[in-house]
Formats: sequence, structure tokens, C-alpha cells
Amino acid sequence: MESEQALNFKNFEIWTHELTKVYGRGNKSIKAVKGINFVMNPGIHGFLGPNGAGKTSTINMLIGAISITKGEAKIRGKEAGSVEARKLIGFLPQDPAFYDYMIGEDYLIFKAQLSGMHKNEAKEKANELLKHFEMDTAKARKIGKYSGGEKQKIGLAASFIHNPEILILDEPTANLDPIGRGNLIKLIKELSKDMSIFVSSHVLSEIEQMCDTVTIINKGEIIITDSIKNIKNFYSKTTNLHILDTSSNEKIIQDIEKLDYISRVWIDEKEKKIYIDSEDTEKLQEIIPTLLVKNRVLLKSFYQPESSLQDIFIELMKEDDS
Amino acid sequence: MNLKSLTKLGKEKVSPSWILFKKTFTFNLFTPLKFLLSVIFMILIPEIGILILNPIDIPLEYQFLSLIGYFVVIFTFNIIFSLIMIFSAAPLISDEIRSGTMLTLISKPISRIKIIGSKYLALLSYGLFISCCSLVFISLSALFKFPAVEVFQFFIIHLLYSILVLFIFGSLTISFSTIFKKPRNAALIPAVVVVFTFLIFMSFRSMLMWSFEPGEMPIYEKYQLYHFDLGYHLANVYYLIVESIISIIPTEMVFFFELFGLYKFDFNSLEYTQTNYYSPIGSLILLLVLTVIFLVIGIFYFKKRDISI
Repeated sequence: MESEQALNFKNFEIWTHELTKVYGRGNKSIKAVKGINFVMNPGIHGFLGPNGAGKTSTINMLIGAISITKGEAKIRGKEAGSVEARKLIGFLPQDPAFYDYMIGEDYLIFKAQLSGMHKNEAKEKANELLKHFEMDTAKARKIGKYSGGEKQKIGLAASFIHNPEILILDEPTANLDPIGRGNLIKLIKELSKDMSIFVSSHVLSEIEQMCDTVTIINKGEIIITDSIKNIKNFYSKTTNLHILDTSSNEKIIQDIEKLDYISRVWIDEKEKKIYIDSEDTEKLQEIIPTLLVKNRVLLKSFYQPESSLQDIFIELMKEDDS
Repeated sequence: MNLKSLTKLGKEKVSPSWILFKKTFTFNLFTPLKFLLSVIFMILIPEIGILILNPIDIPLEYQFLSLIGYFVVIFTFNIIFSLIMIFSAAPLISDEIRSGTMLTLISKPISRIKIIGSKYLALLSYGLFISCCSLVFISLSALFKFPAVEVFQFFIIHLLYSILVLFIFGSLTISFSTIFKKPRNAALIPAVVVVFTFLIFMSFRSMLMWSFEPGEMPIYEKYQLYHFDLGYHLANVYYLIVESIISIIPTEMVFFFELFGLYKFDFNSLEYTQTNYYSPIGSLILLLVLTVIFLVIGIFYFKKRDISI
């Protein structure tokens, strides 16, 4: 009879329990991942963190490239790194390396066949993908002569040519220009209709555009793991920032500055609106109408902004550091 | 373009090991230029020997085996073939790890043992292929010049010997290839072993086997250097192969075996006597055990090591 725990991890695309990675031994050892627990449900899951947070080490443990020091990780219930688990995944590393002596078409066929695909099907699919990525003319060229963008495309195509259940992408947009990034985000969204995608990045705006759920990691520890919607809701309620726009912002700001519960107030150079960081939200909301009347100015807008993932991320990092 | 249609194509299976074997053989080992140069280097000295020798100098069939076999064993297989195998095997694992291609390879559903196994088998196949080609070339040109010579025995003896050399240096180097990140580091120790054993130590071995004063034990025997002498063990197995194929050891080959410590000259009886430090079977077992040990170390290390860029 299967244990409750075993049944639990079978319900998730990715499941980790106290996952730990220590490099080296003794005094010189470095704990890169410190017993992390997170789960990934079907969909697109973002894995966020600053450089050196432990993202790549976690991914490398999931694909079986590096050993797990302690804890465990499962991919659809299969032990991460096992051949059975690797049958389910597609993987694009942070800096994909290629056999420069191979032509693009042969490389894709080789990768598809390594995953068990028959040669004719692999060839057919390789050509369709090359066409999709507008690389028909480059398919007979050696990869060593490809541009950075072309290499990224061929790497991405190779990662899902065999139709994996879960696609793991480690910083896929890192080497792309803004247009390339936009196209990639579109593609990832399209691919997510057929497979779950686990994508790591430190570019928050991209994660916000792509992902349903997110796990934030810092210094090898999970800071938060939830849906982006829940995280935003929670942090918007806890924020003390207000934005005020009136017919004469320069006039009213002088009175706001005098309030003793205001920590910071400024006029944004771009938007020309007043940003107020208040220690007492209720008092501020009560006093604003009085100040409007007193200064005889018209109210255009007064609201608490929704935090972007970037604001939340920065706040979380600050909290974690302190 | 509908990506869904792309991701739902058939699932007919092929073995990833076979695919990796084919890729390693075709792209990493067998390139026309590399193959051509390998065969040219391997046949160079024996072919010069065949060209220089006059048919009248080869009245007996075994004289051909002794004379040309001498060049084939020492030059073609012990030195050139070993070095070709070492420099072919060294990048097979290490270069993939260094360049980062191993990272995507191990994310595929193929076990690490199968990765190293596929590459090792591709190396063995390539080695066997160039060994066969070189021996066919040497045998045919010998047959052309000396029609009476028994080339089939010559071919079989040296093919079997080349397999042993291939196993030893292929295993040793592929084991180092799993440990070192740079191919040149992986090739260094095996190449030093070849140069030391077949160029440097061979020049001194006979000297170390002399007794400079009556009753004095030669250094080679006193310190039992034969235990560690790869050249001795390889020649001992060559002796076994020759004996198995042609039943007797031709007297013309004694001088050749003396170079490797299988015979020594007795100044009292003025005759060559067999040293018998190891039985030929004993040397064969020792070499095969060493080969397996190298392979197991390589597999074990590769299985355990972290692969990252």
C-alpha cells in the first residue's frame, strides 16, 4: 500500500522535500540549496531569485546533473534524475552548449532520437520546428556558424522536440534581445497548452507575463511559493504607498510633508503625481479631503497602487537580508 | 503554425545508446582525414620494411612474421595505434563536460553507464576498424611482393594483439576522460606510459637484465620490475597469440622477445633462455583485470560526479 506521502508527490509535476545541495567538504563546503520545499502544479511555474540564489543548482538536481546531498525531489512521482523521470522532461540550460561540427537539422534529429523518437519522425519534426523558428535556410549550416539568437532557437527547439511532459528552462531569455525575449514569451505560453513549464529567471517582468505560480528563492532558501495573484493581493494590502494626483500637486505636497506620520513624499518626475509613503494609512485617507478643500485644488485620483512582482521581489529580498 | 501538432507526433522507440554510439563513431572518431592519417602512420614503417626487403631475404615464411611483425608490434601497435587510441578516447567524455554538451546529454533518458558504454564501444569499433584496414593493407602489399608468405596468420596474430592494445589504452584513457575536464590532461598519463614503456624503458630493459658481475642478480629480477613492466606483459601475450596460431615460436623471433624481457642471453651457455617471470596466460589475465579495473573506476567516477558548466 502506498504511503500518503507517496500519493502526495504523484499529484505534482515537481515535488521537493528538504532538497539540499552542498558543494565541497569540511570547512570549504558551500551550502547552495538549504532544504527547500516546493511543489509545481500543471501550468507555467516561475523560479525566481537573484544571481547565486541556488536556481541552477536546484534545476541541476531535478535533471540529475548533480547529486542531491540531502532530501528528495520527484518529477510526476518519479525520482528526479532517474531515467524514468528524464523520459518526462525537456531541458534548456542557462548557456546551452552545442556540437559545433553538426548541422542544425542533424542536431535536432540526434536530440529527438536520444529521447527514443524514430529517425523519420525526428526528421519530420526537426524540419517543422526549423520552419517555425524561421531557420529553414540555416538548417544545413554547422551550428558553430550560428548567431547567438539562432543558437538559442535551436537549443529551445531541441529541448521540446521529443514532446516532453515537463519543460525545464533555465534563464531562457538571458542571451536574447528584446524582440527575441518577446517572441520567446509568446512561444512559452503557446507551449504551455501541451506541457507544463518550469522556468527560472531573474527578469521579473517576464515571469509576471508568463507564469501562473512562482517560487522565490534567495541564498538557497525559499522565500515564498504561491500563485502570482495571491502574492500580489497579499502584498498590495500590506503596502503603505499611495498615489495622489490633483490640479496643483506642488501646492498640496507642502501640507502633506508637514504630517508627522508621513515617512516620505515626492513628486514622480515622469508621471508628475505625488507618491506618499505613510506610516498610518487610515489617517492619511481621512486627511486628504481636508487638504484638498484647504488648498482649493481638484482631485484627479487617489489610490493605493498594485505592487508589481518586481516591487514585491525587492521588498522580499530586503526583508530576507535584514 | 500549430505547435500542438508538432508536439504530438509518433512515439516509435529507438535505443538512445545506439544513437549515441553512431554519433560518437561518425562525428567524433571517424573523420576521413583523421582515418587516412591514422592508417598512413600505422602502415608507414612496416611498408618501408616491405619495400626495402628483398624477396631472397625471406626464404622462410616465419622470417616475414619475425621481421615485419617486429615493426608491426613495436611501431604500428605499441606506439602509433596506442597513441591514436589515447588521443581519440581522451575527449570523448572530458570534452563534453568541459564544453557543456554533457549537461543536455544527461538530461536525456539514457543512464550514465550507457553513455560511457556507448562511447567506449564506438572507440573499440573505430580502433578495430583502423587496425583491420592497416593490417589488410600491410598483408596485401606483403603478398604482392612475397607471394609465398602466409599472410592470413600474420593478419590474425596482429589483429588479436591490436584488440588487446585497444582494450588496455581505450579503458585507461576513457577512465581518465571521466576524471579530467581537459582532454589533454586525460591523454597525458596514458601517453607518458606509452612513451616511457615503448621508447624509453625498451632501450634500458636489456641493460637492466644483464649481470655485470658473475653471480650478481640483474636489477630487473632483483627488484622484480617485470611485475610493473607493461611492455613485458604485452609481449608475453603476443607470445601466447603467436604460439596459439602457429603452434611454435619461430627461432627468428627470439631476439624480438629478448627486447621485451621474455628471453635473456646466457653468457655461460651462449644461448637464449626463457625468463618465465609470468606465464603468458598470467600476463593476459593481469592485463584484462587491469582493463576492467580502469573501466570500473571510470564508470564509478562518472556515475558519481556532478555535471555542471
